[in-house]
Amino acid sequence: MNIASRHKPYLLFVLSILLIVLVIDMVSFAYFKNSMGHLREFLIMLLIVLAFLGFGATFSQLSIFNKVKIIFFSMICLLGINLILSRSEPDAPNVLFSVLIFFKIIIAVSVLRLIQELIFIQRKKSTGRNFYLMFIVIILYSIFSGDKSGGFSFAIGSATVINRIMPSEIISILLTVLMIYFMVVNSFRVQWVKFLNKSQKIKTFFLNSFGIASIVSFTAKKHSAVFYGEFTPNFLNAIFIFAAIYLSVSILVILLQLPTAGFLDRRAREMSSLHQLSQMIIGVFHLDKVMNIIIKQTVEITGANYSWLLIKNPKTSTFELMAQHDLPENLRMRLTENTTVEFVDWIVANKTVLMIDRVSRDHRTAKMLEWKNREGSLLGIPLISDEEIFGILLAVKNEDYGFLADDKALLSMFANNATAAIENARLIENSLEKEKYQQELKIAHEAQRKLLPASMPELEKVDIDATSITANEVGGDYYDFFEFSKTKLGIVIGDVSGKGAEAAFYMAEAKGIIESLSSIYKSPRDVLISANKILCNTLDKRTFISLLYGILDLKHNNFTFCRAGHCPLLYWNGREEQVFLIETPGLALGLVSGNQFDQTLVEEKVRFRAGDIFILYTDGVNEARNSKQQEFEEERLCDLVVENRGKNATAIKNAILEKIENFVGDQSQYDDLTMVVLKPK
Amino acid sequence: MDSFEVTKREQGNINILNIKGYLDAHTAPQLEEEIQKLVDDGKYHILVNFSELAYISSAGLGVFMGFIENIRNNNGDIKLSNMNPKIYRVFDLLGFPELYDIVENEQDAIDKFNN
Repeated sequence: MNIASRHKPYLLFVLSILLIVLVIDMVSFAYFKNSMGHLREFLIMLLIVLAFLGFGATFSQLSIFNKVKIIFFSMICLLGINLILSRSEPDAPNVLFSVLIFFKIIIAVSVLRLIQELIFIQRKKSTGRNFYLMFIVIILYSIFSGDKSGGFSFAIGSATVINRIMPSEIISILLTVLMIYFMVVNSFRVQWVKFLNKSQKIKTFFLNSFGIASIVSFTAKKHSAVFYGEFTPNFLNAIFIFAAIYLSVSILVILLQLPTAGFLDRRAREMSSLHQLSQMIIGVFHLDKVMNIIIKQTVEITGANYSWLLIKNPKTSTFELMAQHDLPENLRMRLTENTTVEFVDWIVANKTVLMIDRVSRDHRTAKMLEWKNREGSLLGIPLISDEEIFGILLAVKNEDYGFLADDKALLSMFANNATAAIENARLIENSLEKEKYQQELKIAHEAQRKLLPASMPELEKVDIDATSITANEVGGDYYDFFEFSKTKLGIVIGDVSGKGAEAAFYMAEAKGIIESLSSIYKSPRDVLISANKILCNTLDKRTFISLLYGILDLKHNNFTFCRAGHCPLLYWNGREEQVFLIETPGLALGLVSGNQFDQTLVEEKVRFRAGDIFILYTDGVNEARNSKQQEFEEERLCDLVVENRGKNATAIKNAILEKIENFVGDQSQYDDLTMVVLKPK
Repeated sequence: MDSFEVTKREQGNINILNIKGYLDAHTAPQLEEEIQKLVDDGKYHILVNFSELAYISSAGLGVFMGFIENIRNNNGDIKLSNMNPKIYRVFDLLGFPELYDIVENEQDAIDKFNN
């Protein structure tokens, strides 16, 4: 549509010229009796060239078969015109005659243009050149050839010059030979035939045969142009001779191709199936959809009655039915309940295509009761990736010898595409799943963050800061504060054994238990003994929790604490100017229930003064590792505290974190790291 | 990736496991599997030699907790020997010496099993 509308003004221009010429032509014939002969011939030539250029835009959008049809209709018109002309040969020029000749010219030009369109399908560099040379030669032939002596209808001065150098017959013969040569060369460009399907080929054969007949029956006679010069009849003859040659070659080619036309049709269908599949690969991300498409395409390509797809389950290594098309119910039952089917096993064992021409006679399908005494053929193609069979594509036809050798070849080729499609979809599905998983981890991470205190307790007499950094999205470390009063603060730090989600859940549980017990019992020891009893019942045997719980009494300046298997309490004593790692006896929570835990656990009370420092930490601090597999160790931690003893809690915390960061370097964090810094004022 | 290896040998009725490398959350299942095999075979006298172990995490310690009750109920034991001070420190912090027989060397453990 676009092209046609863009060329509309141009076409109108051409048509108006044609009309003007027609008027001039008719007037000159009817009244001036040939007096404007040369001008008319010149205008006709101009019209031919213009029309030739103008028609292209209209024709180029038609399908091949429609072009063939238009050629045929043109030929019917031509036949009609020739019939009228042959019956009423006028003695004097008349209007009807002029109009008919005019239409004949239009037909000739359109046919030539249509043939050009056909020739230019699968155009090569030489195609255009040969065609345009032929066109020029035809024009030249039309000008310089003729059976009137001298032969120059378009006799302007220059022609006489040429005439003097060379006899007109020689030129005429040369041009004729050249023209025939180019016509033949162009006639062999009939590649468009192969794009027609079988029925179109048959129709084209008859249409073209009729076209040839209508040309041949009248072309020999030149009477139609009696009152014209030589150019017009020569041109018309040349074009129709070319059309006849071209159409003859095309029907010969069709004749040669007809026996294989069915096969070619199927090939074309197959190619388009393959093409469709590769389109699907781009557009479809759902594995299920991809597999369904594969099955449908398999049926389409092979013309099978039913088809199904088995995919290997990586866990059980069995092949499971994943998609099917028209698979009979009893067969489906069999495939889902019993996966040891002999022909499937054969394909898995041999890793090659299996084609069974008669399922009733083959030992690999002998046990399939469904196929006993029935006609049927089977085609099974393994889907191989990384030299391993991950799936099998199967198709069955309800007739013996249903599949041909090239079905086998084609379906194998198709299987390659199918493999790529499935792998693609799997990759995408995996990455989506991964993304979802990561999203969930992020949510878990946020949820766990919320289990930690949102802010530090703000008490008049103590400066506090704390941090917890998990190695993965979720971890097993935690700390918590309980503000009993303005001068009494409960502090807990804990580390659940193991890592990841399991540790994170137990951490949440421990937090809840300690929180509620801390409001019931005043003594840290009682809190931990009670917590151990609860946790021993709920924790996995292998899981335990190390924990340090203490109460900072800011009124009496003491810190009462209990250590349940946790890292020691770091205490900077300002008066003695010394760091202590206080390690009281105590088992981790959840190791043993009952007396053994209670008897071991010792509660300690440390008296402090303003400016002293307590640091509670998890083993992520002292066990932070560098690339040489060295650990950070308590010694470095103690030195740092001494070095930074004058600073506030936040500055001390930051100094320690910075030092650990420098120590670890580009090693990834191995364990969760938690630290609480308390500095009484 | 930190590596971990378990080698098994038998001395009389005592099964000795030599553990080597890094025992953490990733490698713990390996040790777990080996001990499970012994327990399944009714072999309850187990000695774990730590001489070549470079690192143990809390998850590594958890492995022993998973079996000890069952083994002791069957009159057996898991004894631990040849720990370097750093490894021993991890056990000590959590209070494991209260729960397990941690001995200097294999001979001590064998003697204790035989008494």
